[in-house]
Amino acid sequence: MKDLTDLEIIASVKRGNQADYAIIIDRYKNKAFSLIKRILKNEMEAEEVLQDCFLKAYNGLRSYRQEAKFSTWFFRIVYNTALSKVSARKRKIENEMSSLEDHFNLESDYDYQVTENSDLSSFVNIMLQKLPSNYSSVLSLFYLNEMSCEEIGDVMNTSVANVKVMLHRSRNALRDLLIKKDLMREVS
Amino acid sequence: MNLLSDEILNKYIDGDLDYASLKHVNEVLSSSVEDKKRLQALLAVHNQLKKIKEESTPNSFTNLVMKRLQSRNKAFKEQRHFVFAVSSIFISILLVIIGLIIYYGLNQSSETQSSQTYTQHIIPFFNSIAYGITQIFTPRGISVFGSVISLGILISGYFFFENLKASKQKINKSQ
Repeated sequence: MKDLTDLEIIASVKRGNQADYAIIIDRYKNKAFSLIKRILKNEMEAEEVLQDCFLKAYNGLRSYRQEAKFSTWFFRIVYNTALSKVSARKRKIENEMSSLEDHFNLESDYDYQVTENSDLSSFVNIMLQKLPSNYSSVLSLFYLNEMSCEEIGDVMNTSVANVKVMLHRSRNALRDLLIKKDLMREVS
Repeated sequence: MNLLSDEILNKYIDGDLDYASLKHVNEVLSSSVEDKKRLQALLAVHNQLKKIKEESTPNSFTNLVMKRLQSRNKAFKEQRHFVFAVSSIFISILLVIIGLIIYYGLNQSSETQSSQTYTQHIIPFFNSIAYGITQIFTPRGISVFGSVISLGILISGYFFFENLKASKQKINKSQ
């Protein structure tokens, strides 16, 4: 049963086999959780939002027309629900999302001390949490979900060019910090 | 001095450069130590990002969502049954009214016509229906049916909102 494609499972759920929806949940819960957690930066809230996302997706299955891949459709729900949560928390997400003109300064947030135990992996993970939510979402969708820039554009309702700009900026910011903090010693 | 822009380096990593650009980038990289260092750092970030691990939800997460789904579906089902029951009552009332109209109409027509052809029956039949309607919708009839329907609406409205409240409580409990 676990080898079935998303579409086969959805067809089965639509036929009334509600229990099969658990396979979809198991398939996407961790990836979606990672994305939501990066947007909300709060584990408890992320779990609540994720539950709502799966319920929303279930209720919307009848309207899913298979024009996009299920994962793209589902992650659009996840992304929008997480953004709604952020708005509900009265954060000024519009400023963050509205343009690519916005800048972030990772260095000012940089509290990572280079110690004997520190490594590149923990550096990247910590910095990923510091990135603005739209940038960390792009990185999460690109690297963790292995989505193409077109799919990410669909999920985030933005152009492919914007996705690429955000992806490049995030990488550049991390790289600049890597060079500045001399973590390159580990690479070479 | 940087000879290659950040954009070019990112495109190099993503494999978005055409053959000519790629050749140029490779030439620059072989001669520029600074650009090579920037590319290596960018590649290090890229490779590290590829290794980021997904966050894990609690073990009971799937069961929790499935439980919420089941209780929500149950509540919806109960609501559907209730709406069906209320509609059935209203349809029954409507059928009774129509039945009474036809009954009055047929009684009237059987008194006035006994030996007419089929086509000759049509106009008198409708006349008799109209007669039935006038019999039912007399001022007294209207007030009786109006009262019955109003009572029905009040009772079903009460139960509908009670049902809705109970369903919401059930859903909230399951959360």
